[in-house]
Amino acid sequence: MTEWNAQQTEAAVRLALQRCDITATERDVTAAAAQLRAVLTRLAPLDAVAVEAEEPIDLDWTALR
Amino acid sequence: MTASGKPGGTAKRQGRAAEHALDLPLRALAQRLWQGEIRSVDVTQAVLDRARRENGRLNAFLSIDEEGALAAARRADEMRQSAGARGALGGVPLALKDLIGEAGAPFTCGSDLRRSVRATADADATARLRAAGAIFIGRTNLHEFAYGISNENPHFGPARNPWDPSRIPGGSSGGSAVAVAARVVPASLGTDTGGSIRIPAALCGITGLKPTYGLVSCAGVYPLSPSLDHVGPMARCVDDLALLLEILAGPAAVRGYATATDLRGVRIGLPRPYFWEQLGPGVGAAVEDAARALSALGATVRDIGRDFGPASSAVATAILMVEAATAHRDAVRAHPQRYGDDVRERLYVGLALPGERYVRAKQARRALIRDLRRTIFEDVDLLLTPTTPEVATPIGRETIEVPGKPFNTRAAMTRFTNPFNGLGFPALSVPCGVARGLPVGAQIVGRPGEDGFVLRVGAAYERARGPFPAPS
Repeated sequence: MTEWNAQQTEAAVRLALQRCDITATERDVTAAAAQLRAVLTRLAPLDAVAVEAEEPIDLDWTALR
Repeated sequence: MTASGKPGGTAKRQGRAAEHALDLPLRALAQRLWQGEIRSVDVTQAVLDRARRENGRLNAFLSIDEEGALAAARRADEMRQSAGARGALGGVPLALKDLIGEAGAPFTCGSDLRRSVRATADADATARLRAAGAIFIGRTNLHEFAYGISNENPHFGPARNPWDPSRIPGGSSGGSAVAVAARVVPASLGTDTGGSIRIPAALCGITGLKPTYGLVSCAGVYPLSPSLDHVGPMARCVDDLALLLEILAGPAAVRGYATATDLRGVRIGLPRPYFWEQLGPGVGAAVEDAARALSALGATVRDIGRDFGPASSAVATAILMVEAATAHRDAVRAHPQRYGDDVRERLYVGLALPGERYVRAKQARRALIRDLRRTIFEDVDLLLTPTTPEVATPIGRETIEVPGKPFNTRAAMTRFTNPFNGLGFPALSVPCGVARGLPVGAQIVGRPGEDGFVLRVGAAYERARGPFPAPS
């Protein structure tokens, strides 16, 4: 996934909050945007996992035990 | 009148015996109660006295139910004397994290929004302990809605580490860990979504088990991230975890548990990349000592070079943030300022994460579990890592330096634990040393469903290690 810059993360936070009808303070938006950027960076290793296109998202946990 | 003719002598002796009983492991305490050597009402009174005394200093409990606990203790004593009816925990006082439903008891989840909420029913885990005869003395402190690892609760105050009350006990099950470490109760229940049992267990010098995903029912527990949530036991020794797990999930859950110390044939891997990197001073050395002790017991210990940590941690992070935000969306919309700043911000981040990251994380989780079972867990039976990269940090510190590089405390402290929430593998934290005057935990991880085997190896290590010191 392409890395997001500060403006993009802030826009993403504003849009998400607006979509959920949440009124947030500017401080919260700024803090969440900074944190979102850090989280997206931490999630980058997901792209290195070999996942087949038809890989389901649910797991049969009982079968694992 | 006592046998010696001195009024109150028996009561005093029983009081002393009960006070002494607070230092006993859970299994030994249950046995003494079962044999009638001590009364539940005396033990429970001693527990309540200590809970009140310590709570002013450590804030482990959000509420203490003196009346209810003593009434239950009297009933347990009467049943033992009359019908002989008693479960494995007949009359033993325990504590529950205030995220786990207990019928009629406060159910705050550490939230200002739920100050007046009481549970209408027992959680499944509570019901199982109650059926075994346990007595619940209070509701333990936690990070707000279990969404954090410091237990710095803005609404109820921070729980404090009994080794150094200026430091965090870890979280989110911080109060449960403190109550056990401070010898208030012999054991407690916690929940673990990214390390919330194992982190406070490590930072407070006790044992804690995150069982295999789904092994212990989460019904009646306030959800944080249903794909990652676990309920598990916390105690002062591994043997007590085995006792509790058997009660919580049935005898099959502890299949493979034994108290033998011979570990010949057991293969243990040390996943060096990621899980053994960026450690605080003394942490790595303490866990290396544990590896040597396991080797001395006959286990084969070897390094693993494969780096699956960042991807496994990313799986857990993406799933947690999206599921927690979904669970809290309506409440945070209605009452944003009644959430603590840290939790509210994290919920906002979860709402903004692209759905593609969540789906990708769930697919990656399947692929990683399949892959690790076919590769690493073909070559070894268990993994050994530090539970946390650093010992307990001062309350209020949002970043830590390990070593010399600043990290967000929450992200740093969960980096070795949250991979196994995503993977669902059983993971035990057991104290393995002291660094700079504070406990260090070693994490032992097994294949799904091999919780009993993980506990067996943990118990063998514990016996080789010898008694772990209590906080002064």
